[in-house]
Amino acid sequence: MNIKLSHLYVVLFIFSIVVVNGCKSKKKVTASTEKPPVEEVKEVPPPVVEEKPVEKEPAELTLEAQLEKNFQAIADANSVDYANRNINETLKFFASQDAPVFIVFYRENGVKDYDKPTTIDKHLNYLKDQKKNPYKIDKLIFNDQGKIEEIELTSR
Amino acid sequence: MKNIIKYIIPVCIIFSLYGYVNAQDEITPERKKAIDSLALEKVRDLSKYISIIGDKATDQAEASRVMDRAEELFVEEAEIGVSSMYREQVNYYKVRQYLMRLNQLNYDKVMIKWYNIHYISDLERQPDGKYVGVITVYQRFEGISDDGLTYKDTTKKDITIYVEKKKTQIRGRIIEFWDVLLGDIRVTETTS
Repeated sequence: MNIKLSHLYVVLFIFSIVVVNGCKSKKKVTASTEKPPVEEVKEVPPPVVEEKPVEKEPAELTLEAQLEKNFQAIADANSVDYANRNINETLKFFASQDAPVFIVFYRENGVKDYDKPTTIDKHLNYLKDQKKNPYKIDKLIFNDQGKIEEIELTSR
Repeated sequence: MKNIIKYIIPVCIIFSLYGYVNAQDEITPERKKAIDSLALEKVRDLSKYISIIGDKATDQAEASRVMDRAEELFVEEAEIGVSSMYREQVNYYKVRQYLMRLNQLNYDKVMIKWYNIHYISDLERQPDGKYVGVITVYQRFEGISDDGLTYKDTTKKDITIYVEKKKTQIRGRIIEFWDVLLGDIRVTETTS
């Protein structure tokens, strides 16, 4: 009887351990399911972001494309007012309305032939007056504030 | 013999230097063609400026600005001829004076069109290094008064062209450029 009782104690002890462990493991599962998904994302290694200066290039290209668009809009304008509004918008990209404009009309063996240099204000008004845009942007030079302080154009 | 050599060598050097300098100034046919086109373009630009200045719909401030641009195309003291179907004589005016008269013409509507713009005398290099040529244009003029009267004529004009390589300093840099300037505009023919 004593032996049986001791067996019963052992069984009860084992049972109690199993029950307690079962509850603990259940709590763990419950806790893990309640975890916000953000924490799981944290475990994923962050993507490697390469800091390349290339990022500046598309920005410049966009500005160049914007300028080309503005030049064409000025040349195609149906009214002087509309052209003037576009001229004022375009001038905002430049350090000054006197920013020099160099026009290459011919190249030979790496030597450029320039027309008489003009200013951006005069050039934009030229596009408006002549209703034509015969040049494309070849080079832009920026100042420290990111404004264009010099532009080179070339015949299309 | 020694004397001959003494004289021949400096002469040879002078001729070689002259040839070298000339070769430096020579321009290839392709470059010359590009300069020809640039000068033609300046005349076409003037044509557009004249039609804007003459147009009665042009705002006065705009007309004044365009007059400045047109004036910049000419050499100083250049003159422009004005003819009429009603008189034999051709009157000549300084560029600014001509443009202002054009702007103030006593018509309600003015239409000016230049066409058939071409060289009658190719750009030729002069001893001073400048290139000089002549471009001819035809101008169709129509002026309409509010009482319905219309004046029309077609004039043939010869424009002297001067092209010169110049240098300028911009933002600390020396830039070489081709300066194309228009000289006198002579009326050579007036028809109805």
